[in-house]
Amino acid sequence: MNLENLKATRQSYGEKLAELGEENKDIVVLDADLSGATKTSIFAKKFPERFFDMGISEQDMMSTAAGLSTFGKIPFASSFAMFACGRAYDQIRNSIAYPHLNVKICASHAGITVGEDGASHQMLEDIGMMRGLANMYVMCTSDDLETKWAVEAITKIKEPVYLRLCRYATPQIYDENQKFEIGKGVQIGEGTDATVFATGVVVPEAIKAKEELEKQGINIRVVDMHTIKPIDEELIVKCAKETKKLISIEDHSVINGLGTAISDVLTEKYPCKLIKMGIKDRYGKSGPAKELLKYFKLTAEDIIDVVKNS
Amino acid sequence: MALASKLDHEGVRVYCICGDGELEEGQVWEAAMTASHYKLDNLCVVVDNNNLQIDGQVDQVMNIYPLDKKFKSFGFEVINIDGHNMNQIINAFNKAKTVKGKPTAIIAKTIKGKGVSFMENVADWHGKAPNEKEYNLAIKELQK
Repeated sequence: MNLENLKATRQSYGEKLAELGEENKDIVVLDADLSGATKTSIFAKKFPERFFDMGISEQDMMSTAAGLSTFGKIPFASSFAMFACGRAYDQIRNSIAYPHLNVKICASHAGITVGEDGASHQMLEDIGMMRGLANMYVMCTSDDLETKWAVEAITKIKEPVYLRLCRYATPQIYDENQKFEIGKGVQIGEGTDATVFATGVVVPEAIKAKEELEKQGINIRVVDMHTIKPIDEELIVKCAKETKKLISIEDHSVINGLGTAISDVLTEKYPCKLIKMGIKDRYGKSGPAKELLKYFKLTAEDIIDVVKNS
Repeated sequence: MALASKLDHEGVRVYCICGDGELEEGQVWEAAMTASHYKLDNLCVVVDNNNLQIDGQVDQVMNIYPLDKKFKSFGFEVINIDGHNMNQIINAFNKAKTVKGKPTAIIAKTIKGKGVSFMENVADWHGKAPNEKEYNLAIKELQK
């Protein structure tokens, strides 16, 4: 993990989108007055004729994206996760997911790591809302390269996708040799003392915890669950069989998020205990993202504590 | 769809039929803003203005009027017609095709259940199917 090289997944998204727009003329991009923050502005600058600012009208943005896809376009619709999912849930459900349209909803500023904007802007329920929709793919990436691989991969599948992006900058986890496949979790390490399933901005925290625990003679593995739906059932069951303790961690509510998705698999395929770390049925708080991670017990130190003491 | 058609210059015209009650939804006006902002002159909205919705008369449930002024101020060309007069309907569609640089809204004044004496202007028939006896009676009246 390269701790020097920090980058937010929203930035990687914006860069990759602009790159893909070069070769794929069907890509069109919509935003709801937040293109500077979601980084769709990079595409907008390069391809103004294929970028549509819909104003602060998320519902119409989703319906327009749906309409564009019926003409063979590949629409990417971006806003903050709070507004994309929260304000436009009905349009996503009835105009995109139900008719099974090829729309990519790439929402940034998810989770408490939004920081200072506070609880009203910290989306903690989006994974649950999107996971519940039949046909919908749900993804959440953790570093620069993984985000770029994901953006490229979702462009190639003709499916509705929700990609959860973050404002908080994360270190570089992967190099070019890493294999990426939608629906396949990435196992980091072979430790058998515990498995930490993580998604998004907390993946680096889990890796830090793994490295620290190694020094203390405790060997864990980390599973980066970049795809939450369809979830990697095989890998979950394998880790449940091979490791003594199972932990999930996410910058999202513990209700209906990654932890719930994993426990759904365990309940049916391999019943055992799962400790869910995340936001525990409450709203966020305003503050610097780093301090909020500590406040909500989502840091490497918190993971170490859970591995050793729960 | 209208936007996609503009993008590829496909010359497709898009017709969208709206109820009057549904104009109470905020998204309709978001879409209306978009249509005029992006100069979608290939879009023709038809409002079925029968003034009835599930809970009763539209102006009593939630007043949406004046409709023509609302659409005009949202940048639409507005055509008011009698929605039961075929000549007026055809003329309105033909006129809409000639409008440049903005979308058109045809506000068609209608009577819900027109032609069937026991259905005319009765909100109760909004989402209900007639039974066999009512059906036969209705068909008889419509064939007159």
